[in-house]
Amino acid sequence: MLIQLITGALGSVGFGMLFHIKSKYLPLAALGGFWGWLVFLLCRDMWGGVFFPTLVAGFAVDVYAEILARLCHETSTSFFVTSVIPLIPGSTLFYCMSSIVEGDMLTAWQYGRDTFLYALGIAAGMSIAWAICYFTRKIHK
Amino acid sequence: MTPKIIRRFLMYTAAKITPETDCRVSSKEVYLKLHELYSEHYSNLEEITIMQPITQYLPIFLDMGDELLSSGAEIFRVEDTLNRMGMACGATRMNVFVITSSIVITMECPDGNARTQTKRIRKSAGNDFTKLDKLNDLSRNFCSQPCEPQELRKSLETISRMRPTPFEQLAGSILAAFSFAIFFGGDFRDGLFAAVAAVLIRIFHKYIRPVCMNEVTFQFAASFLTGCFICAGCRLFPFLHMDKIMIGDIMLLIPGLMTTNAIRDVLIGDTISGAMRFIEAILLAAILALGFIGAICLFRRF
Repeated sequence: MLIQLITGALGSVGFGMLFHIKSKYLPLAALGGFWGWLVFLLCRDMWGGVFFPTLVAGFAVDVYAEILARLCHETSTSFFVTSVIPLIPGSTLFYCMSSIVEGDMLTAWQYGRDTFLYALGIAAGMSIAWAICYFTRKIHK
Repeated sequence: MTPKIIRRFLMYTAAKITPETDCRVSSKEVYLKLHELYSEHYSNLEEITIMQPITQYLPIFLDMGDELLSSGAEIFRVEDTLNRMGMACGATRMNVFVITSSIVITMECPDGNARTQTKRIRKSAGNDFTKLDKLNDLSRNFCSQPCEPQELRKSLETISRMRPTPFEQLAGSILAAFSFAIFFGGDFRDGLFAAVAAVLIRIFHKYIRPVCMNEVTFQFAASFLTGCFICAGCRLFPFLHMDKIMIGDIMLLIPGLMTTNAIRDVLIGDTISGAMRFIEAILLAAILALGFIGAICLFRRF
């Protein structure tokens, strides 16, 4: 578990470099990857399943990105995308497609559903966070 | 007053004319008066109409939108930025429509004329957040203090020339493949082998991508060759875990981020872009799986 947290953070840094974020923000990307996966693991232990843990993790990561964006005067996208990398359903998407190619439709369906739920969870979580941020910004004005 | 100063002032006044403000009529009057004055005195120096300065921005806005899209900005962000920039330089109304493959802008000018221009976007979106930040700064500066079209064009060009260094990308790929091979349950040796394969993927990006017809063919070539490399490696070193290494390297190629972005676009309301991205992502994932499975089947034969 600790290994996953650390490698998740390292993976975020790797993608941060690949996506060319400013090098001074790389530690923040690592922290974001760590934070996102931590929230996901905690929620998964609590509720199980895929959708709600990713929803909460997506929400948590977007809040983190929004706060950093305000502090550093940058776009929230660059923090969000790098931090959300460990949650990205790359492995399930691959297993789904490989099951289809091998003709095992039942497994393919399971993995495909998981992939969709992961992606939907992240997207929904960040959309909720966005709506709230927009709301607070309007209230402040 | 010199012509330049008056022209600046004209642009500044035009920037203040927005449909919301009550002073629209009066500042429009001021604007027209000033323009009259200007052309009376300086008509022999330079021919200028009200239309000209504003619509000159249009092609630059299109390029700006293109750059924003290709550096990983969301659809709504591109639309918002172009809207603001248009209003800042004096349009009375901006109609911006952006999808992943095209940009349409209609600018309405203070004198009642309108102009529309579109741009087809062929290159697929990447991610370059340093560039995105620079573009954001540029648009923010422009909105607070509109500059001449030539100046804007020049600063846009300096930004669009910026590229991440190959070394940075190589290091990023290696680190990402290494960590994700371990993340999904491999051991240290698997991580190292995944890192070697990541170097290979970077080399493919550099030398095979330019000769490929499109993203899909490249995806197939890259995944098949990488799959062969990993299978061969696992034959030579039986202690490696093939699936973990593959997933580590797949994270570099898989459009997982694209899938998430697609669903987010749909949730926010950019349904067309979301649907286009989603189909593209599914296709790329299928091709990727086909490449890797092809390599696995090939090696099972021998």
